[in-house]
Amino acid sequence: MSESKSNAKQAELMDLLKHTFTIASTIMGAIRNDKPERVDAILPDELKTSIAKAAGEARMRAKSGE
Amino acid sequence: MLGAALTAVVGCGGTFSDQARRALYISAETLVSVDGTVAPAYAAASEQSVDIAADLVEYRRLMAPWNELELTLRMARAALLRSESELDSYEHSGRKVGLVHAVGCLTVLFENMFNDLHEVGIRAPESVMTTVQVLRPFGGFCDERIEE
Repeated sequence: MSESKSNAKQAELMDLLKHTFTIASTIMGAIRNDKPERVDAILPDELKTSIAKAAGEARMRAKSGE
Repeated sequence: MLGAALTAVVGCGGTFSDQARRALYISAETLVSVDGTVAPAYAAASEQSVDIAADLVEYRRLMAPWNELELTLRMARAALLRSESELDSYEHSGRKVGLVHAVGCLTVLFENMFNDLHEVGIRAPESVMTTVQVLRPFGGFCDERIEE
């Protein structure tokens, strides 16, 4: 029980560090570039979450035969 | 504290257009980062739901809050591209109306993102609310129907 709590805390800390790093990199990017990168160059053609959604629906269709 | 730094960076120097471009850049980076966090969590929730659900209707019911979040992320992506296109137009024509409207709707989507993340049990990163603060000075009223 306490081990899973400690793992959850570690995961939370990792998340926090990851997001802090992202914000810090974004600040550096915004400072470094007078003309920051264009949005259409940063965004992927399709979001990873949309791909995960399509994959999930396909798995469900395969399971239920729909 | 980092959020305040980002807000300051957007406002520091340059024309209105430079500042708006920085705000859109930060929004795009935030969206990509949130997408990277959500995608594996969505996949895990989806796997569980496939195991539990008997058919597609039940699966979609189980995944409803996740699909709401996916829709918000997808709409934010589209709104970001539209805002950038409106910013390009503003630089040529000097007319702000389209940009202000597009960024207004983008701001609403980032606010929704905060709530949608909460609904699926993901703590929204600070950068989401920071993005709302960064966008707000450039956006106006959004009269489009934003799905919630």
